[in-house]
Amino acid sequence: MITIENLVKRYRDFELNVSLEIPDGQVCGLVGKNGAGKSTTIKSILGLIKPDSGKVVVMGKNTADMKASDKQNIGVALAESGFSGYLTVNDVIAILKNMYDDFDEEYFRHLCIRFDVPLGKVIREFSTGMKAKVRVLSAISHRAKLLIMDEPTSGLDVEARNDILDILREYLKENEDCSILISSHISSDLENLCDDIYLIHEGKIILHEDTDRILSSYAILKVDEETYGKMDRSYVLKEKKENYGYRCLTDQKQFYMENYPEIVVENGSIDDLILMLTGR
Amino acid sequence: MKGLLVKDMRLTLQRKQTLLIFLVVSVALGFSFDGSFIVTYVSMLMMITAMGTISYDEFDNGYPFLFSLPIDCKTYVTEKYAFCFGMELAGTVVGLIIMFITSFLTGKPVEMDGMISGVIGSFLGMSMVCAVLVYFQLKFGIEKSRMVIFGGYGVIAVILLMFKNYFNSHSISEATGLVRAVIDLAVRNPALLLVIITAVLLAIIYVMYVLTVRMMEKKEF
Repeated sequence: MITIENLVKRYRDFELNVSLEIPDGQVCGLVGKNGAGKSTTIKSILGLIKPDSGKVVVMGKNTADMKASDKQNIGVALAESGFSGYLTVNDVIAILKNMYDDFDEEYFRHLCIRFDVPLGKVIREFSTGMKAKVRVLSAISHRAKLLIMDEPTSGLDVEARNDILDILREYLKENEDCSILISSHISSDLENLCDDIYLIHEGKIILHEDTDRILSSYAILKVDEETYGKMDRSYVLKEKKENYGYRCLTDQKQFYMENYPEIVVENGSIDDLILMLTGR
Repeated sequence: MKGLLVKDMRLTLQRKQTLLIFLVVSVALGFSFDGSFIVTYVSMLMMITAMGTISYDEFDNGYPFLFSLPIDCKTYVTEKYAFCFGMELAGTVVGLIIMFITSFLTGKPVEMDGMISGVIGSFLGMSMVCAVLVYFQLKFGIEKSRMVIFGGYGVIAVILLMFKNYFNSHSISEATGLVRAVIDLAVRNPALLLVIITAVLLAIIYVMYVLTVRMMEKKEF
């Protein structure tokens, strides 16, 4: 669905240099700290910025050659950009109806009612969560084959985040061949949604792994200095000095559980990956 | 393009109260001024209102999302021109209606000959100004374009002052070169002069349109 080959985009104080692939029907998470390059990658996919070198192919077409009609199959929700705050949701419905060939007005209205989104109020008077819901509903209401979501849950409370994730899960259930690229720095949101995860740091992809493998094989080992000195560290990806000894990230949890029963092993999470691989 | 037109129409209708005030002021002015002034005034107000939709698009970092919708830069620019010219045309029609109604109520007859050429001339002139302003608003954004537009007004003022000084120190009969040719043509064949001016204005509008599309295609969001 999306192929990025050696995409390079240079700014004065930042360089993005990434390659990634999202197959058809796959839900892919792009995680990383603020300023890591998530939004720049997404903007490159949407053709909103022009790469200095490299290739971005979306649904078989180079983004530079993408026509307006090709975007009919893409649904987009961006973190800091949406419909003008001076419009109401009724206005948004009228616009989308005239913008997308397959816009499903009934479905959109149904979801607005279900998630308490007022139809006649101007968007600038909405809460942050409500605005996020409008962005996501706008992206999914024309049966897009590819959804691109840039930080759709950023700045939301738990309830609003769950609502957004529920919307996406239901969409996936009804559209199994749909691919999603979702970026977030709240990685727990992605653990139950994504098939695989790309970790981006300082403009580069530093890890690509199946979500299931991250959750089943990755772990944090809490090791005292003595054990650290004698243990086999072949499968330690990164370690950090702590008061009690060392905190180690491994992708072979089972090995350490079986061979070093005295070590405290905590199940891995995407947050641990970010903290260990990108933290100071 | 239909979706963009709906967006701009809906954004404009959000300013219903402002439009109503414009209408009331225009009717009041219609009673105070003779001739086609009111037509030019209303169409200019409508054009400025239409151009305000660019500010709404830009407001709150709206462009990245807008250009992720199924549109391209050419469609966006074409729609913006179509909407602004359409609003200007609607303003011209409303202005004409106000002019005829106030003329009927005050009993002052409308001079049709001068009025028709005046309305067409001001419509084309304003369309050209609109084409230039759309370019600057899209290139520099709301804030910076204001500075550029004020600078443009300054340049126009200097050119007009130069013309004024020229005609203060020379009589029309002493004019030479291009100025002489234009004056002669205006006397000999005013219809041809009108056609030439129209063609020049349309050419400027087309060139501005092409430049605006190219500029937007190079822009990053």
